[in-house]
Amino acid sequence: MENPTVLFVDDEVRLLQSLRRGLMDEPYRCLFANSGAEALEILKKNKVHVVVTDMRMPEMNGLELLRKVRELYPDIVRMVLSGYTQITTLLTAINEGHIYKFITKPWKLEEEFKPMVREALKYYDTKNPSKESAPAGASTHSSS
Amino acid sequence: MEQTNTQLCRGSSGGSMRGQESRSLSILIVDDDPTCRTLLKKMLEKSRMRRADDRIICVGTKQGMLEHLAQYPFDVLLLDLHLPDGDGLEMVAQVNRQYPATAIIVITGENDKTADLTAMSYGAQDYLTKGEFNQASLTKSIYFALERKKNQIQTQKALEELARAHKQLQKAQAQMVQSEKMASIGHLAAGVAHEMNTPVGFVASNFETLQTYLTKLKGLLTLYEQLCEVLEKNPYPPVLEKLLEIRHYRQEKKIDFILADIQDLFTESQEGLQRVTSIIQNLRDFSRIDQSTEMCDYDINDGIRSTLVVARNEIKYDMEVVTELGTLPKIHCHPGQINQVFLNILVNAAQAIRSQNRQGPGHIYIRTRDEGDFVVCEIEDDGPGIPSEILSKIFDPFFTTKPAGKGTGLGLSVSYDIVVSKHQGQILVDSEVGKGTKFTIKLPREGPKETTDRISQEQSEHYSV
Repeated sequence: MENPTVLFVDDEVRLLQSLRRGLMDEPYRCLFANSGAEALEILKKNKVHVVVTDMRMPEMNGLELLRKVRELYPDIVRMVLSGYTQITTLLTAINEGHIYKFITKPWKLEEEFKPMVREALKYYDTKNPSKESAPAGASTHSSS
Repeated sequence: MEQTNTQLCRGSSGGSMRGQESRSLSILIVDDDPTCRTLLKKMLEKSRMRRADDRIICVGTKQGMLEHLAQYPFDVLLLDLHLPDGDGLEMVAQVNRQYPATAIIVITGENDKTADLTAMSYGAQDYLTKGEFNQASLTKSIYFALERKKNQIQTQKALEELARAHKQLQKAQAQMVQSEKMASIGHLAAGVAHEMNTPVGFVASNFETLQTYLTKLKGLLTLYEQLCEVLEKNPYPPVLEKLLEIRHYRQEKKIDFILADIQDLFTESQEGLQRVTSIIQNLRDFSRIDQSTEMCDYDINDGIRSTLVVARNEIKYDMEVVTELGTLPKIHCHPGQINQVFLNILVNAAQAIRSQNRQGPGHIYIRTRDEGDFVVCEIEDDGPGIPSEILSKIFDPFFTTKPAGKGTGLGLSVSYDIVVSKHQGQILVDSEVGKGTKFTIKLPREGPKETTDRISQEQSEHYSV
């Protein structure tokens, strides 16, 4: 894929800041949204491959956002980053948000978080092979 | 004595004083004056309430009285207050204490009028003054003394029942308060724990990033270092000045120490974060809303075995675990929760033993047995034991004896909640300082009943020692 892009959504700005720092050397573009509404705005203007969202957010919660994302951009790989890990939250996220992975807060950046996001990008690739028919020479992973 | 209730039902006038279902009376006459004794006995024998099988005994000493009372339950004691080997009201009190079912009628001389009323407060039911009573008044006195005794016993019984009921209510209330306390703390804890995950999350993440930043900065510093060395070899006055300044700064700010210490700083802080994370985990376990609510039939021996595997790290090599697992029926329970109880108690035992820094290995005994309606698990250690003054607090939330950072004080209160509130079982503790501690967990075989009136369940001897 060209210019692999991941969108992170959380109402806590400091959390987004910590991800911005932690992922700056990662081989993909990182976008950040402070709310569900902002995330949808960003999605309108940018080609995004993976969305990672918090569950508990004011106004539009993570689940609503994931539903909208699935409806509007079904190709996008959806993930959750949440501190709420009770069974009900997990089940709703999986069954209604159709998520690929659930990362728990607090997370381990090197061991867990980075590999999972990379896997999600790879998963996007395997799921959307047709879109992979880029012009010869256009590299995907090598650029990543 | 219940039997006294049924006799002497009819009034003193007209026919027998005894009721139809009457039984014989036993009367003990105690007087040191033989004439008096005989007179009293005769009066009784001629009495209208006399029955052929009545038992009337006469003695002249306190010693004789006590021997008779010890051998046979007397209904009535006619007691002269002046005996050669015993005197006065203490005797009344003693008989009343030792033989509460016997009605006492005190016989006083004409001279000690004050003693008669006082005798009543010492437990006598009536009094007679020598020379001032006849057969009729003696009969009446016996009748009323028996009545009073009967009423007194009934009142006493009612009082005891009330006291017992009151105690039960208090216990039930304490249990309810405890459960409510746990439930509300649980909710609070769960909310707090989840909210804490976000700040802990980004602090931990930033920390990891900071470490990579630092590695990069250290690299740059090394390059500068090398630059300094090159420049020092080719002294050029303005540069040399700057180099001296750098050296000075480096010494003043203890940069070398900082560079050496920085890794420790990271390690220690990360350990702190790890600790915070595990406290959050504990709080979440405490509220248990993360766990499945499924109940199933489970052999708790399997639970013991798997818990021992999990607890291996804590128990390690300095402890001997002896298991005596009986054959058990499967019980209806939440296996995860029950295992958590075992784990909490095992880890506590291990930590208590370790805190003694003893020479030889400590011992933990785990026994299970089938008691019909219940399965019972005992976990006993030969550790330091729990002082009696804190024994009643060990199930309180946040109560801990461990140093700061080592315990959340939630382990046993979680266990209590799981066993008592969630499974309607019992958790008991026996402990002796210097000897060790034994926890006994009793779980109902059929599992908790669906609709629960917790008070009537008579669940647990919470603080029994």
